[in-house]
Amino acid sequence: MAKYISKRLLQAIFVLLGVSLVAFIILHLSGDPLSLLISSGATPEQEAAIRTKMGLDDPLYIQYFRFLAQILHGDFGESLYYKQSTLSLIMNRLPATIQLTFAGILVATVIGIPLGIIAATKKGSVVDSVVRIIAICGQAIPSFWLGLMMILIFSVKLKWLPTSGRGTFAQMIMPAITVGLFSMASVCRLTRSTMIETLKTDYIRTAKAKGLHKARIIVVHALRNSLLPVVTTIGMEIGHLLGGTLLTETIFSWPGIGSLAVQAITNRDYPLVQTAVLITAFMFVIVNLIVDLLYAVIDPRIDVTNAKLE
Amino acid sequence: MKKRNRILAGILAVMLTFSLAGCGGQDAAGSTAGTVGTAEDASQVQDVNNGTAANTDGITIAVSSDITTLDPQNASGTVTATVFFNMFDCLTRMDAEGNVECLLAESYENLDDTTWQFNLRQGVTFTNGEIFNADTVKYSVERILDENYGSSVMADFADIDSVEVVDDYTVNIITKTPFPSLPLRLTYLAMVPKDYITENGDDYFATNPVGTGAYKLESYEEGNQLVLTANEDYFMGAPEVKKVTFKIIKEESTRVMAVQAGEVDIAMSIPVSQIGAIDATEGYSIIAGPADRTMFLGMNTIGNEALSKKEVRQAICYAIDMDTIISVILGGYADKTAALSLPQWSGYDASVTPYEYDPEKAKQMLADAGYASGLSLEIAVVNGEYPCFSEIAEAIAGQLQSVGIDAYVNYYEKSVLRGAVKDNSIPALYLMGLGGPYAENNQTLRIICGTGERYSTWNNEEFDTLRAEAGSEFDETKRNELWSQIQSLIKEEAPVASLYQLYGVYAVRDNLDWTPALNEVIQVNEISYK
Repeated sequence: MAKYISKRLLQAIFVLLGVSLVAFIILHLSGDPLSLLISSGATPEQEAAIRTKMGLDDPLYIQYFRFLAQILHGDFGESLYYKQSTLSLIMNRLPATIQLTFAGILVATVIGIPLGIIAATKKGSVVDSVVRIIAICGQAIPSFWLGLMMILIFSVKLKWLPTSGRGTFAQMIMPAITVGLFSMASVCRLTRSTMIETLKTDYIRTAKAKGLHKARIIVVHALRNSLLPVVTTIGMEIGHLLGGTLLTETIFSWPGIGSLAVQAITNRDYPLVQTAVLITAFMFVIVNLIVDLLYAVIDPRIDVTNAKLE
Repeated sequence: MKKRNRILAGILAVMLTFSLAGCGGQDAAGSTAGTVGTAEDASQVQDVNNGTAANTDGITIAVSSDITTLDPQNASGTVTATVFFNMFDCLTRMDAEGNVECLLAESYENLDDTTWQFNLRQGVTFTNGEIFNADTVKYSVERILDENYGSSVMADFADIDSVEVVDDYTVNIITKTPFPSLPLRLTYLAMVPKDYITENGDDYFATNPVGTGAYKLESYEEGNQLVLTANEDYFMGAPEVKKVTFKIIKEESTRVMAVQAGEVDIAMSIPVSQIGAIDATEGYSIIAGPADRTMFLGMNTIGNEALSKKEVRQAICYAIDMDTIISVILGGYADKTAALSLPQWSGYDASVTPYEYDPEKAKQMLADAGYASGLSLEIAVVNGEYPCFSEIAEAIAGQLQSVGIDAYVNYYEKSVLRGAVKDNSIPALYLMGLGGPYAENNQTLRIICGTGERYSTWNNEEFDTLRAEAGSEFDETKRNELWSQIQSLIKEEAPVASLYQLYGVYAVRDNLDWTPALNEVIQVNEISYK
């Protein structure tokens, strides 16, 4: 197991290198950070001096290797725009994104799994259709519209919840729903289809024949065996959300790394974008690894350590 | 319980913990100074539209962009500046109308063309007890000019050569060349505590600022909000508003809804389309005032052949109907300008009037210049850079089309457009606004029209000579005469189509008495309760 984990982490390093290289190239394709950084009154000579001092007129490959070398020393560079360590900037906002991601996943699972079970057990009925429509709505509704509508209704009209920001539990409710609803749809539909398959199997018929209570059959026997694909989906959704809660963060002024990263891209804040990309990719890799390891826990028949490496 | 179940239960518990962590304001991440900031939204939500009761303890201001740093000498951007002007003071300050007056300096005079002597106010201390004196001034000026420190506004103080301490409360600032704009420029040079910074370092200072100003930092959650409390020992008198929370709400719809929900007392940058909604909200009004920004349609006279001809540029000026744009698109919240200069700037000449809207004349001039048809011009614009910029660009394109120019709008990213203007590769026309807390004829006109300047696409020796002369002329009459000439030149040569002066549009709770300032800074110690 330990060997497997270390092999995966080694692969992760190559993933991170590739990701950082692609991001670096794309960032440098257009735009110029200096135009947004120095005062508009600076003369071309002054600007040239600052550019040289920042190392921005060195050839691209030199800038890239300098960046890599600094990382090896634990120096992730200083944000051109915020003028502080990029690592501290991101670490200050990462908890907010993690919190939002997990709250969203919680919403998705707490609503999605039960709905999926109900739809599966009542397959073909009106209830099933209603649940499937709810799922489609969850996927189709644009998150920014949903967010703004919720603020309008619950903050402005009803005055039940605060509009934006972070700090209290009340401020987390609407962002979590906005972020979770899309994932809820996937979780719900997947739970429904795997449950339907599981309910057809022999051992479930055996359990029914044994006269076991219906709820016990569903939750204890059927659900457990349906969980595998759902866990995969949840894992992917976590990774996806960790990197991309941008719209929700913007609408609710949630101080996460999504809006920070996009602001950095607009500003061509190279060090900040690079660090944000690296950290996001790293988290994604770790989440994937955890999900893979979770398989073995959920289903002892699966042996990830050997299967994966062929 | 089986091992599997225990693990799954453990994971669920972890997820719950992650979700609930940070609630109730316990999250210390990003909060580096003083107490951990706790959001007080719960109480504010309950006190909606209950004006007087809600904000006597303190007010909340919704700002439209991030605070980049708490170090005032590295600050750029209106919001970052607003925060620093409430914590720090400079030798001089700008009042709401744009006049320069003394602040930490009691008086100043010119010993000669390049030497300014400042007599400093006595008895002023930083909030940590450190005394403000001539050494502070020398340190502060040298720090902002220090290349190793690398201030983002260093270039704007490059006219300063050195500082001499004469005695504890007298200091000389020497400029490289005669520079009448110095007092205005000094309104942005914050006085910072020498001992405190030398002891703790720049990085520490940037998150634990200490100033002489009306407020001191209580807490700061990056990207979320910043709280200041009153400095009761402020040398101008303790401020009436005892506490201010700056909430960062970048999305304009959310900012407007925060006003409608009664969560904030002042909100900046209200979009024109939402002005009606704010007016209809009980307890709030729209308050607007001119800002220190001049908006214009730049023309690439160097890179575009048609635009190198004065007649074509003048025709474009005649073809633009600014009155309609201001009343229809900007809701009346703008003033036309004639030659980039703003009424609040020293040297503004009101007798230079804007071009009359005359599409027939425009068509005639284009025909005379040989461009009756077939002239295709791109209008480059950054979507959302300023209120209604996209709509204004589209309107101008339409107006140019009706005089026979094939004009079309192209949307650029901010850094890309600025880069293209800088190296004169911008195809034809571009919508832009420039200005800032120390904007003036000398600074802003140089940037827009000076040969080789970063935002200029014009080469004109006459302008350069006149501008350099006006910028170093101490005699006010001669200086104003020169600026008059320059404005007439700009109107005549039309290197840009001077469009309008930007207005700052704010939503303000009715129980607060406040006037928007020209430099777009919200000086909280000037706010009072009605």
